[in-house]
Amino acid sequence: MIPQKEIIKINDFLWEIPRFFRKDMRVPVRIYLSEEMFRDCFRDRSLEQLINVSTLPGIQKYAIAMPDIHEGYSSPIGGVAAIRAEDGIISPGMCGYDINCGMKLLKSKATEKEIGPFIEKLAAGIQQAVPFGLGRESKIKLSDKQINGVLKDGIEFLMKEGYAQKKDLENCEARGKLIWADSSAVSSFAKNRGKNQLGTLGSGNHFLEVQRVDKVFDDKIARAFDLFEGQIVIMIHCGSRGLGHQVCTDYLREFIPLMEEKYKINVPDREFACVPFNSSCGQRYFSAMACAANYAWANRQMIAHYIQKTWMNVFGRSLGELTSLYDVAHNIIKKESYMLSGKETELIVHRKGATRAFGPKNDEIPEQYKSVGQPVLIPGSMGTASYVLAGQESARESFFSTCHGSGRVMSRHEAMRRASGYKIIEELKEKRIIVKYHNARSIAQEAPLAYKNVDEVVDVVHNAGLSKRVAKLIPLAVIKGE
Amino acid sequence: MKKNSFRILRHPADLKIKIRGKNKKEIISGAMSAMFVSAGFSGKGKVIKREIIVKAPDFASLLVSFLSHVLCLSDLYKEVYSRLEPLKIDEKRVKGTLWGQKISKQDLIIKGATFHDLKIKEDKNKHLCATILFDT
Repeated sequence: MIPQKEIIKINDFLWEIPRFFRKDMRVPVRIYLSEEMFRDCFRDRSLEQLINVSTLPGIQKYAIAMPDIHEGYSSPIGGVAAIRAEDGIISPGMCGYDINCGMKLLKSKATEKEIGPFIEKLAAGIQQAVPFGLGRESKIKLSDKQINGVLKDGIEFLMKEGYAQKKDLENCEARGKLIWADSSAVSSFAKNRGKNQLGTLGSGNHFLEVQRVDKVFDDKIARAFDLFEGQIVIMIHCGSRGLGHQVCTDYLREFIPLMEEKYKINVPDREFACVPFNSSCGQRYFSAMACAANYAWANRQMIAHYIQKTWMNVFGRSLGELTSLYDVAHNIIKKESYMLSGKETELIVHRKGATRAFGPKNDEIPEQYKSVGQPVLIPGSMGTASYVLAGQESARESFFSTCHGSGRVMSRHEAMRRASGYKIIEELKEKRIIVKYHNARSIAQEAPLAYKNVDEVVDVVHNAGLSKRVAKLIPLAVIKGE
Repeated sequence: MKKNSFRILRHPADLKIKIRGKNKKEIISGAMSAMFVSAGFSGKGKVIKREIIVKAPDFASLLVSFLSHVLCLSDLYKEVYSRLEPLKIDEKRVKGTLWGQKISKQDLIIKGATFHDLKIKEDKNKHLCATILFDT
């Protein structure tokens, strides 16, 4: 248990546990929280887990957590660790099983007024078009050549096959392709799991939502993002499915004995399973993780393709096509350069439940967003608001990272025990939110009571300068798997 | 499996299970059953059998590696397994036959069996107790 008195308040939204709090810490710990949230974060073991992150070899400046922090395994969810490439480690556990779980937002030119009577039809069409839920397989079965193509080239591969357009590629983190991906680093078990799951949503907290832009906070950025009040947008939340889970599993199993016996790396939790980044096994995992990330971007793009087709089926050409605002990961490991002690330093930035949020002028963001910063997509819990934010230069201290969602406060089991899926569906209906689902238990698992308040989480990242609030999105239809 | 041979422990986000067994065999097969029961799996149709061999450097790693492999097979073939026999086991190897059916229902996706807080201890009655966290 960490005594509250050991934690220093840096400002109204930032707290620090000094480096000397525990002997094995290499850097201090920093947590972005409001005063109210600060009291709550002692309810679970997330701070202890963040201190564990601070012990990782090669970690620079701070072990950082976002306001949606909650207990996970190895790192807490919401954790960020920037590790020096030259002499630091890479940790599969610090990325997690759902590699490149992330968000994509499609925007329309239509308003709620225009599509209002057709939202039910649109939601039902999307439910029909996108394979949802547990064990639901993809409409296309990939051959060996095709799965290798997806792993290597991500959205670029889909573009060649006619499932994506140039704009989809441009408006995606890393243009939907990490170039160091090498499919020979991915096991046949992982590839086989991935062959039947491309374009599927999965279950748990993954969802699709038809939303309305309820409020624009920043006109200039909203214009650059082509967002306006009343506009219909569609949000996609999912990841790399069984393929990503298997990549993580494979490397954890391989790395634990290497970490303990070959490299003699001492960490407080075996689940970090870290090896030197520059070792051959570290490089192999980095390539495999990139494959899973490419698969996840392709997965969200394939779902976007099905949604686009449904949109056109429902509205014809009268309301135009949907276009991608952006697609961004919140579980990933990336190579990024930062100035540290006056020296350009290559860092391996591990983000687990944290979104990359580059500020204006960054070379890695699309040309049309360069003057305002990268779009950041933050989903709320079921039935609550979601947000579009923009990356800020002031986020340099967090290695350009921001929150990824509301943050869980209760397990799915506990939520199912406490909440009734049918009651939640009734409550959503009262708010005029359409719910499409296969199993009411999946609705109970994602009950709003199981999450923090997304408005408070977004307030913190906005006020702390990690990303700027641009627009608030209100759900009109929620589509979930089993 | 016996209802009292496992229980779900409180965890703020994921699925944490404690399994009790007389020996390593019961821990291995009990953990598999507990994993599927806790995630709300049911099966239907004819019985399916699959051979399985898993190796690991120690028993704790063996338990996680075995569960991970079973999860992989379950996702790959859309099957749920309820028995593991005949079962041969030592400190570093599990060899056996999984008995299962096609999945008819599942409440949770289990992304992985983790090494986080993994504990295998002997209790005062000389039974083994294992605590495992699953990412869900």
